[in-house]
Parts: sequence; structure tokens; C-alpha cells
Amino acid sequence: MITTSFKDFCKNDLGNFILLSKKEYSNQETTSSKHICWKHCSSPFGKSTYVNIKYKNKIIGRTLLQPKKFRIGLKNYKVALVTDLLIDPKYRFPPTNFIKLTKACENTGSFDFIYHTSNNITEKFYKKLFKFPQPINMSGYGFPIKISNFINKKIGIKFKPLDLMLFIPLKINYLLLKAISIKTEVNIVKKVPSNREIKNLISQGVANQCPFFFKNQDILRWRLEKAPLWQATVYSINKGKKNYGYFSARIVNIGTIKFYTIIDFIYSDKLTKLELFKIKLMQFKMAKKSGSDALFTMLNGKSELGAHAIGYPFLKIPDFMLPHNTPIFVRPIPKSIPSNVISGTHITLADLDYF
Amino acid sequence: MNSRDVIKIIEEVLETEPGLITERTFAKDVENWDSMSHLGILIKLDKKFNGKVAQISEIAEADSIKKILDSLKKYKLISS
Repeated sequence: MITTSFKDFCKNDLGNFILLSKKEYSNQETTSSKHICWKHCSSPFGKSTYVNIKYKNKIIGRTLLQPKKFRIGLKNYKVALVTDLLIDPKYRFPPTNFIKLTKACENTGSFDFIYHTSNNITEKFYKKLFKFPQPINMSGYGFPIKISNFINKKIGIKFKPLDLMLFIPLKINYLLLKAISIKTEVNIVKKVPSNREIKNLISQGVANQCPFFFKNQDILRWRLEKAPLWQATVYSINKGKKNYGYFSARIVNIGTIKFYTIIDFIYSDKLTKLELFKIKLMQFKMAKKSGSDALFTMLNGKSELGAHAIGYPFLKIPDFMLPHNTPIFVRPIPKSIPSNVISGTHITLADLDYF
Repeated sequence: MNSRDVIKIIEEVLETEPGLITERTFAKDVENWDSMSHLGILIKLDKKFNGKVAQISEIAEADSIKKILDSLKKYKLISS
């Protein structure tokens, strides 16, 4: 008989977790004990909930619900991100174990709702079979720096002179940045904002604009700076001594292409359009300096906060150019929250399982 | 909708030659019939039967055409 159980994930579960992961993957993020412990045992929000299905006392399928705090206005919700779902290849047919495990995520009784992404295989099952609500869709934004590497990836020929095509836009960016810098005081400093600064950002701006995933200094440090495999740098945005937001960036290598990726941000609504433009141009400059092939981010384009981060040089990347769609499934959407409110959620790559 | 129509839908999902699948076919006998294509069958049947199939666990558990057809008959979605 197959049974389903829920428990807090702890270090003793690592052996079983890795054993099952190795049946499917060889990549580090699913087999590195340091990474798994960081992800599921060390979050400031608490330990992940280990949902597993067993047959004859052996774990044949699992998923982990990583806890988060979601905020709408001043009201907090306890939510979880569904991660690391895997069924032992021997027990995949018929697909009842996948169905059982997917449905079980909602039944822990510990969360107001859960949310998750999909890949190009599971997307159609979540949409068409389970009919999960999909109020949010992540979109990609960016700008190329070295075109030759993208062409090389497509046709296998590296033709460096192609990079000169961007010589004029790059030059214009620098000139614009210089010109804007005379007019604006906004500056970027490598520093995680203090709890007081983040609290101010949230209470004075974010909370009035859209739903968001709660952050404080501990959370930023854990998620971005202390990640064993995927460390990112956090930058504070200041005007004089006052904080006006932050963003976090890391270089993500996908195949042979280097993406300077903005994985998290909150920009104060008190920043002017010119100041926001300067921040984006500075990010572009940082991307170029890092030797990356492109500047990149993903966000919910319907979020008011997300809107601050887009616009040149963060141009919309057509969905067909991304590896797969990134719909966000939310289930069940609490009856007290209209789904159009959830649609405007500020959500970044750091709120997801990627990067 | 009858058994033949259901088999036709399954043949389309599994991309098999028409006539290869009969009421006596088991999943293990068809190369393409794995967990992913089984979920594909559920999606197609669910659409055909206006969202009623996804709720029937016997169809998700079925490992043969006979079991799928018997479940659809049991829930009166196709005629006996």
C-alpha cells in the first residue's frame, strides 16, 4: 500500500533525498548536501515540509514545500513554494503517484496557499488536467551585449565583428549615464540594506502598491549571499545617506552564454523616472564590466513594482526565445483574495526555485 | 461516444497506427504508453468528457484499455 506523509525536512532526510535524486539527475543542485541543507533546513522562514509517498516503507516520490511569507497590504499569509518534486522512475506508471503527490501538496494544513512553476512537460498537466489557477506569468526582459555568442550558439560560428553592431547603443548608454549622473544623486553601493531600511521601503511604498513576498535582511542574506551554489551580490540604492531600494545580481551561465541577471529587487516609489533609468543604465554598465553576454531579468510585468524595473535597456524578450514559459500556479487562491489582486504580485527570480 | 471512439483518442495520443490498439491491449504492450502519455490520455479524455475524467482515479490507475473503458462505462460516460 502506498502512503503519504508530511514532516519537517531535517539533515537525517538528506540520505533518502539524494538517493532518489541520483536516480534522475547528476547535477549539483539536487545532489549537493550543502545546497539541499541551505535550501530546506536553513531558511529564516523555517524548515521545508517534506512530503513523501512510500511503498513498503521505501520513499518512491517526494516534494518539498519551502515556506515563505506573502503580504498583501498589512496582512501576512503563510505560503510555500513547491520544489524538488520527483518520482522514482520505477514507480511512474501508471501516473497515480505523480497525481497523488501533486495533490497532496495542498493538504499539509500549514499554508494559506502554495505556489509553483512548471517545466515544458508539467505545464500542460497542471493547466489542463489539474486545472490549477495560473494568475501570474513571468516574462523575460534584457538586452544583448555580445551578439556573436548568441549567433554562435545558434549556428556554431563565432563572428566577433557582429559585436560591433552594438557599439553605438553601448556608447549612447555611457553618454546617457554620464549626462543623467549630473542631474541625479542616486547611487549604487554593494551592501545589504538594514532591517530598518527594508521596513521603510515596505511600509512606505511596496505595501501600498502590490502583493509581494516578504523580505528582511536575514532573508536577503540567506537567499542571496549565503547560497552555497548560487551566490548573488546585493546592492543598495542610495540618495545621499538615505536608502531607496536594493537589487541583487549574479552571473548565470546557460550553456556558453553568460547572463548578468537581476534576481531580486525593490525600488522605492519615490525614485523618479530619471533615477530609475540611471539605475538600469548602471546595471547595464555592471553587466558589460562583468564580461557578460547579456543583461537579463524575469518578473511579473503586471506588477506595479515590476514596472519600475522594465523599460530600456530591459526590453521584453519574446516568450518563444526563452527555454520555456514560466507560469506561476497558485493553489488554492484563498477566497478572501480576489485573483486579480494576486495577478499583480511582485515576484522575482529570488522568489522562485531557479537561479 | 462509444468504446471505438475512446480507442481512437488513445491511438492519437500514443501516435500508434490505427487498429493497433484494441480492447485487449495492455499499456506494457505499447512502446509509447508511459506515464507522460498516460497523463496525455487523461487530458484528452477529460476534455472530451467535459472535465469529468480527471476526477476518476480508476482511469489514472488503469494499465489497460479494458480498465479505461470499464471505468468510463461505470461512470456512464460511454455506453456499455
